[in-house]
Parts: sequence; structure tokens; C-alpha cells
Amino acid sequence: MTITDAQRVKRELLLRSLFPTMPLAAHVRFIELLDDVELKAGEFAFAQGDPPDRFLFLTEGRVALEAKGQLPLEFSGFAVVGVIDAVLDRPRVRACRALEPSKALAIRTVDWFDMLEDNAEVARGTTRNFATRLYERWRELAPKLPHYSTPPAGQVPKDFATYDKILVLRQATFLQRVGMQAVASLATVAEPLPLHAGESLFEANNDGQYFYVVGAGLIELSQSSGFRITHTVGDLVGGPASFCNALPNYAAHALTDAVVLRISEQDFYDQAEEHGRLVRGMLAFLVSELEAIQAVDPE
Amino acid sequence: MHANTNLNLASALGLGKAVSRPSSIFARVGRVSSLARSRLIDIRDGEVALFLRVFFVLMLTIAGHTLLETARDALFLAKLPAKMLTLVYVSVAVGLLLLTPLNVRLTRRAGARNALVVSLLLVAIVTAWFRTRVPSAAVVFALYVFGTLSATLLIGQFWQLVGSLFSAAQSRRLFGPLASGGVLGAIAGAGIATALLEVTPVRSLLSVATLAYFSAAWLASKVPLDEVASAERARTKLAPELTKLGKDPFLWRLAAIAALSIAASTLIDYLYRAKVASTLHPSQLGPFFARYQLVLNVGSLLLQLTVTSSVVQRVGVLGLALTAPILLTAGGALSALSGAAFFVVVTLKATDSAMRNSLGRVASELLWAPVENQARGRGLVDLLVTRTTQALVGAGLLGVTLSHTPSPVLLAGCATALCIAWLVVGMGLRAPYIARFRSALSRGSVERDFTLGELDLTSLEMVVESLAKPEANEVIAAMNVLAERKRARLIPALILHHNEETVLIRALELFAATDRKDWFPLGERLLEHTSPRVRQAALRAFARAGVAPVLQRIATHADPTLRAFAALYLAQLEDKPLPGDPLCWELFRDDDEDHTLKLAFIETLAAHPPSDATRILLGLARLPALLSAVTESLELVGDESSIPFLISRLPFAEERLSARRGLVRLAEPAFQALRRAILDETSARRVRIHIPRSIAAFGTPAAVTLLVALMTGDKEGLVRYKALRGLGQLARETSLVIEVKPTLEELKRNALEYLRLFSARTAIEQDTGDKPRLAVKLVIELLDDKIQQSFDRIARLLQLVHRGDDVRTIFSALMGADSRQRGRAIEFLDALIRGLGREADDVAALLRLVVDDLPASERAARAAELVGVFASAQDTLAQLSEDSDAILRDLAVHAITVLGKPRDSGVPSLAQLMERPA
Repeated sequence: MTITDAQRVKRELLLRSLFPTMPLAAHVRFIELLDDVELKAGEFAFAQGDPPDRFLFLTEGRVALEAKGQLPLEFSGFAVVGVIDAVLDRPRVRACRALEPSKALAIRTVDWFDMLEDNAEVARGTTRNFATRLYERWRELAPKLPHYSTPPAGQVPKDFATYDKILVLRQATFLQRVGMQAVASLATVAEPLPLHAGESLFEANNDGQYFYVVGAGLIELSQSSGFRITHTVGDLVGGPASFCNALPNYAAHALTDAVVLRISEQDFYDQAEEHGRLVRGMLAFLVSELEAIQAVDPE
Repeated sequence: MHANTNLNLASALGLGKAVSRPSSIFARVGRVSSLARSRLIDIRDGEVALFLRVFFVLMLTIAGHTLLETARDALFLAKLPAKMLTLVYVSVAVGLLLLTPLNVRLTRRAGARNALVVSLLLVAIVTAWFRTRVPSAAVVFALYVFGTLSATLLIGQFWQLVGSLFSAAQSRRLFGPLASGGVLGAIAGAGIATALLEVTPVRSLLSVATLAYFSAAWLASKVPLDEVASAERARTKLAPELTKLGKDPFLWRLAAIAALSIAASTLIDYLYRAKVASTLHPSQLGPFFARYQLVLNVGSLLLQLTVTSSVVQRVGVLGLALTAPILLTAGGALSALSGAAFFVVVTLKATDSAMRNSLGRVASELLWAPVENQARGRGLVDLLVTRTTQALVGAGLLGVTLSHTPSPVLLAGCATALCIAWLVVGMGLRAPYIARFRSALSRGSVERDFTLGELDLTSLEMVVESLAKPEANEVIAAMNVLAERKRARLIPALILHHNEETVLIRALELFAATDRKDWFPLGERLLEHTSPRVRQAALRAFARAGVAPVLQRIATHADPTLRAFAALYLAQLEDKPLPGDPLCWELFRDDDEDHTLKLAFIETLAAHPPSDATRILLGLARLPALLSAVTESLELVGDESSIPFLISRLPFAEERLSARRGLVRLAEPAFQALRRAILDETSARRVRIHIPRSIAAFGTPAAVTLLVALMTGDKEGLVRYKALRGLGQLARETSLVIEVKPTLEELKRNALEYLRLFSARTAIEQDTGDKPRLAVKLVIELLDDKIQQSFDRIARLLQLVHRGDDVRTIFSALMGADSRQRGRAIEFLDALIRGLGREADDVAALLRLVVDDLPASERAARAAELVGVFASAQDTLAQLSEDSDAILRDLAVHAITVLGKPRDSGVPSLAQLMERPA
């Protein structure tokens, strides 16, 4: 199955305009991995319950993601459709139906993940994209979530051996889907920082080069604007802000005696290059959070 | 990977002996075949009841047919001359031509099961009717034709039914034992016939045959209806199938095989019966045929039990399809050479019959397995091809026998020639057979071009159209498309009138890299643009293009930044010597905190490199903020002295691509430096792990050789994996030859590793129940990851061996819920791997154990011979605590310490706190 020159150029133009920072080699590969999909009005691109084996780049027309008893989600112009199920590796939650004759390019999920694994820059860019979208919603809604209003105090152990670090990271929400190998590898590069109540973890305008996971105790993230939330065991301090270079906008300090695991961004992405599931797992975390927030507040 | 895997496997085997004799592990791989052979009947949970039902249906049907056949043969040859057989062949063919469409229609309307039940009942009734008739010449002739017609239809219907009940993978396991049911039935029928003929006349055999057919019909009615059959019958049209048959290389080969085999079989049958009739007295015929059937079928049963299963497992479907023509070619040749000696001819006929009902039948069923809606194709082959051939051969024989009696030697020679043709057609089956599976798994072969192609007129129109779009991103994309193909000249200079800053900056970058001058006037206007970024871009473009007069004019510009830049570029363009440490140059005295001047200098240095550009760039690289820019410039201008620097930048994702390109540009010296770095165990791990993909970027045979060596021999798991990925890239994007043998060995190792981890996990899970302690759970989770990793590597390795196939999709089918697709995927993998030599057959057997639909405990039990026994959770964890993987080792040690302790102790540790539900 080879594509014609015209098709190739058409795809290249589209992808280059959509992902201008993607390296050329990745573009060339991306182009070849796409399949054309044409939908007549009323036709389904995928049905509810289908395997999430691919997702679509809608290029023309209008489609809707539909599920019984839920409001349909409409997409038109250029849009990425079906990526959430693909990232979360779950059967289609909604069916995708064309509302008018539409065209799309489909990529197999497995090929997309391969590309992310092969290209650290693309992987980081993709993570950042999802994180930025999530961050925009998170900073509005996170303080309102009940979890942050009455946090439990927790218990602070004296020692933090590698095994303990594994236990903490395994509980971290953003690492829930990355697999034990990645968790164990991250544990080897995670540095425990014991903090006394009131002690600063980082100040505003910090260099944003680290991820912080609460291992014990409570950490408060704050901003001069009055934004304030409390992180408890297993939380990534700053949530999605950590993935889109927004952490320098905040300060954090311990509310109780606490232990925080600090992982340098470089180490983290190094590990991501070693463990393909780490990128997948992070994306799954970001996407599921985004979906949860959208469910609470569609706006 | 050698050392590691051996160690892992040795420890998994838990044997000091294995550690001291690591090579013995690979000897064990050879035992996989024997492992499969040792299991004569591999029936799994949920299959037993259905298997037994269809087994007895076949047994009773064949028993009935054997009784009928014995009576038929004896009555016919006693009443009529052998040459009348030729008329029988024609009549049978014509009869089948008439009956087959009815049969197809019946199957479509009623389904395969009901069609079989109805046919069995009809055959039983007609057989009973023959029992009541006096055996005149006409009745005997009719009985012969009826016996052959009924057997052909019933057996065809039966296999069509079981083909729809079992998947391809099940068929491979079950059809051999199932065919034994037929042989057992034949033995029973022949045994009963032999015994009855001692006390009753031949016709009484028809009464017992009637009973057998009725019993078979009753039992067949208990077989469940199949959904696929129902779906097929709704939308089948026979006519278009003819065109499809002609165009499909696999179907026409199957049709050719059917035609050649039926032609050979008809000749052999005539030769045999003529020989028997001319050799024996009519009164000896009944007992002879009964004893012949008995001996033949006992032999067939032995063949079935001792050879068929192992042959199916060992040679695969395609090898199996060649077994019958090979044996018949030899038998036919021997018959011809022996002057058609009685014993040799009887043996030839026995071989044909035995093959037809055992290996040949199994081969035929398996070959049809990948054909979607096979009932249609088979119906067509049966109706037109087989019957027409049979009629033609019968008519030919009839024509010959009208004038003279054909020479038995000539008949044997003709049969031999047909078998040779059958063999030749069979040998060409492999490629279309695999293509069939490929199509059934719904992803065509992968033919992808990972290079940038030239632009044709249509494409060009599309790009030019995009240049006029209002969206900046689309315009930039179009410019990039042209630039990447060295067609930046086609970008009109007028684009510098564009409103978007980003478009202007990119256009200036691209113009500066060409030797065109038409953009100068418009470019100079941009020096007055409101955006400082555009002004600087215009200045950089003139500097890169080396337009000194414009730079001299800018040296008096009102903007002090532009003036400073212009001075810098002019100094560079004038090729003034730039000695000393660049970080201490006067030129950079007024540089800002962001090193704007230095970065601009680095960029233009790449456009106009002086002889000592590399030295200057490496000097600037001492400043961390400049590293990325230096790497980018060295990509374009670095000389050999930049190689160590470029290698040292590989760990950094944002610089890696530039560093790799720079290394590839420097060709052999860079390749050798990378080779030294990767082979040097003291090299930093962060560098080493990125070398394999850098080596792959060279895209040379030497790169392939080095990557294969790394994939199979490096101590670091990640380096081995990256080498595999690098080879995957080369397999996908080039036509470079990748040696198969080391890849197969790697496949073996990964399959063994998969089985070892799988067995360990199964043992722990079985022993610790649904709620294992947290420490144990961590080990299980890690094992799950590693199992998945081995599986993924197996898929990637297979992709190397079969680069034209979409192996990942096949593996997706393996993981899917559709058992029919899983079965196809398993067969496809098997067919893909076989044919690459003896070693490949071992790998195929091993992979079968990895991917086959088996309960976890059964897979672990079968793997025990290869990877050792994991007796209990404690024993397994003890073995894992000596694993070569440090993390697995540590977690296993932790798990052992908690396994014997009670869940709650005095002081809660972090682990205990986390073990409690939130």
C-alpha cells in the first residue's frame, strides 16, 4: 500500500502546519503511517465498544462523539478525534459518527506510541501539549475539589530506602499506569527531601527543573494571587504545571513534617526514553485528569 | 544478551548444572518439538464435548461407508467387468455436478450441521432400499455410483461443518485426532464386514451400514449450530466466485491441487480394481475387499496416531500438503517400474486411500482455513474443478477401454506424472498461503517509503496554493516542503510582503541559504520593519548570504543592536583571523545575558565557516547556554575533531538529532568513533544507550553488522533493545540485508525469557491467591512488565525477519478477544517462520508455546522442560532473588522476608501502612 505523491504532499502540508516543531524525520514517518478515511454523512468511524486501535485527524467535515444519555461532542475543521480512548487503552466510550461528508487521516495507536518512544522531543512536546490544556483548567478548578480541603495528616517515616520510594511512587497518581519497571527505575533517581513543618520546598521563580512527589506529610502549593492547594501523599506537587514549565509561577512549603521525592526533569525524561510505558502512562494520567475535569465542568 | 539470558535462564532453571553448562539451554530448545510430539491429543477445556460429538459422527459415517463400499466393490466386480468402472467414474462426476449445487443450496439454507443430518438420513434410507433390491447389473452399477456419491458428499459436508466449528489454530491441533475417528470407523466397518461375511451374504452389510448412517445422523443433530454458517448463507452468490478463483493465486492453486489429486486418484483406483479383478476369482472378492479395508485402516490408524500429529507440528501445513504427492509419486514410479505388480499396486492404492483420509484430508482442511467464507470457494472447486476433472479422466479412460485394455504400466506412469505436477503446484503454495492470512488479518503488507519524494505537477500546484493561504502555519509548511526538496527557489520573493512575522522570518532563513538575489530589495525593506525580530532576521539573512554592501550600510543603522550585529558579521565575512579563546573576544564584550551576539555569531559561522570553525565552536561550547547552538552548527560544519563533542551530546534529546546528523555527515571516522565508544564498557551509560540508534542513522551494511552484534551480545539490556529498534528502522526504511540466523537466536532467547517469567509469575500467583502481600504484588507487577516487554521484543524481532509483514497487527490480533482472529494469527505466525530452515522450525515450535491459547498453568507446565520448575511462591522468589536484574532481585528478596510473617506487627512501617486499604 503506497500513497501517491499528491497524497503525501497533502499530508505533509497538513502535518507541518499542525506540528511545526516536529522534526523532519518524524514528519516523514508520520506521513507514511497515516491512512485515509472518508465518511459519508451518518457513517460511523468507530462504534461504542470498539478497540481503541487508532485515532483520527479530522481534516474536513464534521463528526460527533456520541453515547446514549450523554450530550454529543462535535468536532469540525481540524480536530483530533478518539485520542483519549487510545491513550487510556480502553474500548471506545463513544461512537464517532459523521454529521456531514467528512475526511480524516487515521493513525494506529501502536504506531503513534512507537513514534513517541523513538523521538524524545515529540514525546515531550505531546506531553506538554496535554499538560498545558490540563493546566489551564486545573488552576481554575483544583482548589475547588474536595480532596484539597480536608487532607489527612499522614505519618512520616524516618528512613526512606529505595523500596520505600518505590511504594510512594507506585501510589503517585501520575505514575499509576507506567508499570513497575518504570516506577522502580524512577525510585533509583528520586532524592528524598525531609522537610519540617513550615519549611520551604521551592520558591516562586524557581528553575522548574524538578518534579516533586509527596512521600509523607502535607505540602502546600501557593501563588501570590491567592491560589492555594494542599498536596498529600502520592501527589505530584503542582500537578500538570510540572509538565508545562509552569512550576516557577508557584511556591511550595511543608504544612506538616514531610518527605518529598525530588526527581530532576532530565532524569525523568531519561527514564521515559528507557521505558516507553512511562510516556504512555503520563499521557494517560493527563488525559484522564482532563476528561475528569471536563466531566465536572464542560466549559 | 548471551551472557545475561543464559544466566537468567540458568537461575530460572534453578540448577547448578545449568549454570555450569549454559549452552545446554539452547539444546533444550530442540526439545520443544518433542514436547509437542509427546502430546498426541491436545484437547483443551471447553473443547472436549464438541470434539467427541464430531469424532463419533465421523466414525459412524465412515463405518457405514466402509460397509457399503465393501459390499459395493464385491458386488460390482462379481457382476460387471472392470472396464465398466470407467463409466462409473463418468457417472459419479456427472452425478456430483448435479448434486453439488443442491448440496451447496442445502448447506446455505439449512446450515452445515442440518445439511449433514439431512444427507445422512437420506443416505441411510437409500442404502436400506438397496438392501431390499436383487443385485442385478443395473442395481450393482447404481449402488456403486451411489456409494461414491454419498461418501463424497457426506465427508465434504462433515469437514465443512467442523471447519466452521473450530478456529485455524484449533484445527491444527484437533483435525489430526479427529481424522482418527474416520480411521477408527473404517476399521470398525471393515472388522464388522469381515466377521459378517463369514456367516452372511455380502448384501447384509448394507443393513448394518444403514444403522451406522442413522446413528451418525442422530449424533450430528446434537452438534451446535454455527453462526458463521448462518451469516454465509445469507449472502452467497456462486457466479462471481468464478472470477475470484481465476484471480486469486491461492485459490487457483488449491483448485489445481484438487484437480490433479482427483485425476491421480481416479487412475490409481482404476489401476487397482482392474488389477484385483484380473488377479482374483469373483468369489474371493468380498473377503479380499473386507480384509483389505481392515488392514488398510489399521495401518491408517497407526499412521494417524504415530505420525500425523508430529508431522503436522513438525513440517507445518505446507509441508503436510506435500506429503501425499511425494509418497504417491514414489509409489506410482515403483508401480510402473515393477510392471504393475499386484502387491505394489495394492500398496499404491492403500497409500492413496490412507493419505486421502488422514494427512491429505487434514492438509486440505488446514489449507482452506485462512480462506474467508470458504464454503463458497470450496463449493466451486468441488463442483466445477474436481467433478469436471473426474468426468474428463473417466471419459478418457472410457474412450481408451472401448478400443483396448490400457497397459497397467502406462496407467501407473500417467498417475506418477500427475502426482509430480501436484507436487510442483503444492511447492508454490507458501507465498499465497501467507498472503491469504495477511488478508484475513485485514492489514495488507507494509510497503512504505520513508524518503522525501520529488514533487509532481499536482503536488506542486497544491504547495503553491498553500503559499497563498492566510494561515501562517500553512504557508510555513508549504515553504518547508519546498525547502526540504531543495526547491526553495520556487518560493516567490514576494512572500516577503506577508503580514505574519513568523512567515517573514522563515522565508528569510530559506532565502539566505540559496544563491538567489531577487529577495535583496524586499529584504532590505524589512530592516525597517516594526518587529525587532524581523529586522534581526533580515540582517542575519544578509550575513548568511554574505552580502557585505548591505551589512556595511547597516553598520550605520539607527538601531544599535543591528549595528553591533553588522559589525560582528562583517568581521567574520572579511575572514579576519579569529585566534584565541572565543569567549574572551573583544567582539563579545557588550553581549547581553542571553548571549544574543554569540548565538548570532554561531549561526552565521555555520553559513560561512572559516577553516578553524570547529575550534571556535568547541571553544564557545564551554558556555552551557551555547551548547545547543554549537551542536546545531557543528552538524553542518564540524570536522573530525568535533566527533567526541557530538558523541557527548547524544544524551540530550533536543540536541540528539543534530549530533547524529553531524556524525553521519562525517561518515567513516565518526562511525568508527561510535563503534569504539559503544564497545568501551567504561563509556557513560547515558551516551552508550543512544549510540545504537546513531549507528542506525548511517544506514550502511557495516551499521547493520554492528547493530546485530550489539543486539545479540551487549551486556546492557537497553543497548540491546535500542540496537533492535535501530535494526527495525533499517528494516523499515532500507533494503539492507539483515542476517536471519542471529535474529532467530534472539527470538529463541526472548521466547525462553517470556516463558521463564510467565512460569514464575504463574507459580507465585497460584500460591499466594487473589490478595497477595504488597511485597509479593510488587514482584508480580514487575514480572508483568517484563513479560510484556519480552512479548514486544518478540514482535519486533519477527518484524526484522519478515519486514514486509505487519507483525504488530498480528500480535494485536493475538491479544484480541476474537478467538477466530487469534487462531488465524497463530497460524500465520507459524507459516511465516517456517521455511527459514531447521532452526526456524524450532523457533516456530517455541513461539507456538508462547502465543497458543493455553491456560496459564498449562503453558507453565509445558514450559517447565525448557525453563525449569517453579514449585511454589517461596521457591520462585528464591530463584528470582538471584536474578541478573537488580530490581527484580531486590523486590524478590523483600517479598521473601514478608512471605512468612503475619500481616500485622507492632509498629507500622511505610509498607504496612500502604498495604491497608485507604
